[in-house]
Amino acid sequence: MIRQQTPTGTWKTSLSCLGLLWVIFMPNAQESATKPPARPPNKPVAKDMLLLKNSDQISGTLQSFHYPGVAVWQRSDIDQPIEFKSEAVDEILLGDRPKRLNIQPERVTIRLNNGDTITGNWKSLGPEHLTLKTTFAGELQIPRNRWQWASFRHSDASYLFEGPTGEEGWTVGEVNIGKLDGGQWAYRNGAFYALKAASIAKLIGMPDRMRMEFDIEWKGSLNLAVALYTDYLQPVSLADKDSEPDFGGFYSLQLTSYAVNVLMVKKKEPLQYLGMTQTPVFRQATKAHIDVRTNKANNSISLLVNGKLVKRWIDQGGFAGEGSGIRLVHQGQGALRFSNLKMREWDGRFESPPTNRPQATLDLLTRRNGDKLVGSVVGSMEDRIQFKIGETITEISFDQIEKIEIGGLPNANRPVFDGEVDATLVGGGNLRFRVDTIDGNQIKASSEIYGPVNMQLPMFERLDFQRVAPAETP
Amino acid sequence: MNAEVCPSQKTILRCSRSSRCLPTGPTIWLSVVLLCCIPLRGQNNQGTVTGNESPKHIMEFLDGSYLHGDIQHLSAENGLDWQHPLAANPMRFNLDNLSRLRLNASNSIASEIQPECRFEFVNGDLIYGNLQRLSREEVSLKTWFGGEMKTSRAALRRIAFLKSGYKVIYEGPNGIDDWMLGQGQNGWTYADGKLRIKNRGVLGRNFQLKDSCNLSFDLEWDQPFQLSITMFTDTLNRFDYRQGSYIFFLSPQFVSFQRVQPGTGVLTLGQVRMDQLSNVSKARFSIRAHRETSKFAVYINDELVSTFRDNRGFVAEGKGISLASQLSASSFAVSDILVTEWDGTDESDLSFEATESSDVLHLINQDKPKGDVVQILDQKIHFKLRKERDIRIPLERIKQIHFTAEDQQKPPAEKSTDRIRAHFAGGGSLSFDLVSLDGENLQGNSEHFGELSFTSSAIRQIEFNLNHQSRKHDQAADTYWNMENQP
Repeated sequence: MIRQQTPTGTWKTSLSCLGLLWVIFMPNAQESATKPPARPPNKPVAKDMLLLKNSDQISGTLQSFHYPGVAVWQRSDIDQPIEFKSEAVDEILLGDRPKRLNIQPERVTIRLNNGDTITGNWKSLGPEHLTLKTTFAGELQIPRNRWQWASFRHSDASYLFEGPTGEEGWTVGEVNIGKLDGGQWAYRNGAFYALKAASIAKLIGMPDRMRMEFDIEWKGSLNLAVALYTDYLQPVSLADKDSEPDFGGFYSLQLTSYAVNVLMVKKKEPLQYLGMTQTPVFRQATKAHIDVRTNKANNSISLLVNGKLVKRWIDQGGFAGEGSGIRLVHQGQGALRFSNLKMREWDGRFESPPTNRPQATLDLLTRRNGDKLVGSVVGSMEDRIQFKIGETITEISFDQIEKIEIGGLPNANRPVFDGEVDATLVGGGNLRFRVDTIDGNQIKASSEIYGPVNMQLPMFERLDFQRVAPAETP
Repeated sequence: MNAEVCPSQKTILRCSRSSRCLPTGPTIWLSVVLLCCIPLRGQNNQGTVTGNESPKHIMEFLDGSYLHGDIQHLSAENGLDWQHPLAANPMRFNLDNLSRLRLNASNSIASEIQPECRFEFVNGDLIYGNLQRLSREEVSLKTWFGGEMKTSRAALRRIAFLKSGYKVIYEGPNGIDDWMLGQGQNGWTYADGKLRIKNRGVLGRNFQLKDSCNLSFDLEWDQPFQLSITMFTDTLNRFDYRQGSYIFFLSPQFVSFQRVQPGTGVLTLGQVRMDQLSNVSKARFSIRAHRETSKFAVYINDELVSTFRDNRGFVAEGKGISLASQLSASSFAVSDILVTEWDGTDESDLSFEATESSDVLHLINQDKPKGDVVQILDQKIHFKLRKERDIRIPLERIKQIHFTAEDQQKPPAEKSTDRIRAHFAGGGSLSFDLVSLDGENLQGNSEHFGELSFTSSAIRQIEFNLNHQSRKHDQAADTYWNMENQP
């Protein structure tokens, strides 16, 4: 175990208490002569949820939406659809809908200066527009003067696993033991939700060098344990681990509101905490993007939160993870949302995420080998970017590009106007537009950036109508 | 304006009444502050919804949905007709997915009946009332909300005789205006029947406490909390160590109890570690104090956590209670507050299982004779001791009667969507099959009591789908995710 600088004073006591509480209150799964019957998983929730401005909320199905006008809402326990005034709608959370899958994976993520972040495939870059092919809206013409950066994902770095897409294939763990008030993860439209202590696990084929990312959002306390490289799909009672059914060694990444830690768990061996570190970011926020990177060769597990390296652990005793699965165990405090799990091979690098460069006069192109080129993006051809360095135009294949950051383009955030939504896409991504109508699975919208656009409702997870600015149409 | 009735004052009866349900008279024994609404019909029956009227009711559904609004009509036959302030038209829901209807306005009722007994039924019903008579087959009781009610004795599980009667001092909260807030930054707010706190803050209220207090409330939290409850204090908006009081400190892990005495300072009289709250985010607390015996008790979810005693005697003279949040990162809500008097009885002393074949009496001298209760009449119980010897015992010597399990009716499976549980103002609940609820009355059919009719103003809330309540959370976990400010 790496010698850690021990925290002092109150924090030391607090962290020790947290550790003790963690050991005491980790969900227990007791082995008995008869295994408890497996709980049927919750069915994916196909229902939508309507949140109104007076804080009311009602589940059901969005039938149509007109602005101005009404939102028509249907439920199984009413005889006639309900019509709510559309300006009374605060937010619509969308349930699962059959999605039109894109045959080609989407490989480029674009960020605009109004905060929109969308993923698609690069079609072309002309003097005025960047054209992106998207699943949710077809081809989008994006004005060049709104594009801040682009990040590329390549075919040799394809995701080995993306999800969740449902509870199929996941094993629901039994946490109804003793005094623990156990529950179950619920799935809705790309995310797992848990309100009580709950466990769910899946063998996802974790490679020896892994990069695994996911998003978490919480209410109240954050208290989540993520088992890495496990071969056992039920939660393990840490206090009674040696009397559990046989399991291979695994690591438990413990994320709490106050600190993070990694615990090495092996049967017949003492538990080993690899080192706790404080996480102010979790205390100050209610959501985070988690990036876990492992390397069996050097026995390391690294944690990045919102793109910043928080901690790197080294297991001096050798890499203990023997399985290839993940297990999510919500400890029962607060509520948790888990989404956008993406896992792939890791090349061992810690690259920096793309950023906005408003002060820069030139663009920055970063290659996958780490080289950085300063110049100007001129245009693109079929499979390459034309990048001008000085007076020379260089063509660089998309396969070689990690990211492009445009210089001199400040943020242009503004409040939401009436009828506009901040929409979140399933799998990540967000954009703002004005909703004209929603009928069935079609959104007719308009945007100061994309113009009139038809979009696929099933590709969205959330439509947020919160208004800040006075009623005014841009 | 909420009216809280002091026992010595005559109140204005604001709700409609029937001679059966609400006898009036010069003597007012029971005063409650209700959460109920009369009239029930929505004030705006027009197609256009302005959204400006304050809705009076809150409907919660099994799937996690909840709506403010107004009941227009509720019946087993037609379901719930509901007017929502932001909807273009009234809605009609069937009963399949209803969870709880909260009736949300204040009113007061005068009654000359002070309950002296607590009746517990095998199906979980609980009634505060007075025993009229009891025979081998039947029991007759009198209640403030239902007049005289009769049922089969086999429906009864237990009768507790409350030494000083059941007196409701306060029920709420109904707002924050009748509470005193601490100075400076104060995180306490009120909405939908709950006092919420984010961050630190103090608020208090004068309850005119006298010689005892049973403060019960629901506490919900989503962050670690530290709540201090100061009882029998006259300083309501801050800690005051210059006057006597008693302070309970509650956190998810500990309860600790202190005495504050001028000249002596603060002394911790006890501390108990708890594990009931480690993985939950809601519990019902009962904090009790009894001057005569200097006895204090803390219950969580009806289970005794600890009792404490002040061996120096009861030092506090104040009449109020204050609540203070100690942690800056706190977030919790206090609701369903009920303040009553307490006769000092520790219910754990009274808890024992009925035998298969005998009734059991719990006497004030702690004796627990077994036998048969033959009848109760004229304040005396005719008891067949060990089923052999006839004795007669004055009721004043009896704390509790626990009826044999052998004769008790098995509670029916709660399958019907018509089956509801009505919670009465001041405590107590009855389950029965709904017939209808309109502006005046709640009507139903009970297998114990037959046809029932209560004035709507006596009802605080109604639960539906009783057998589905425990399942709703998991299946609606994603729905509950969004309920930051669930009423």
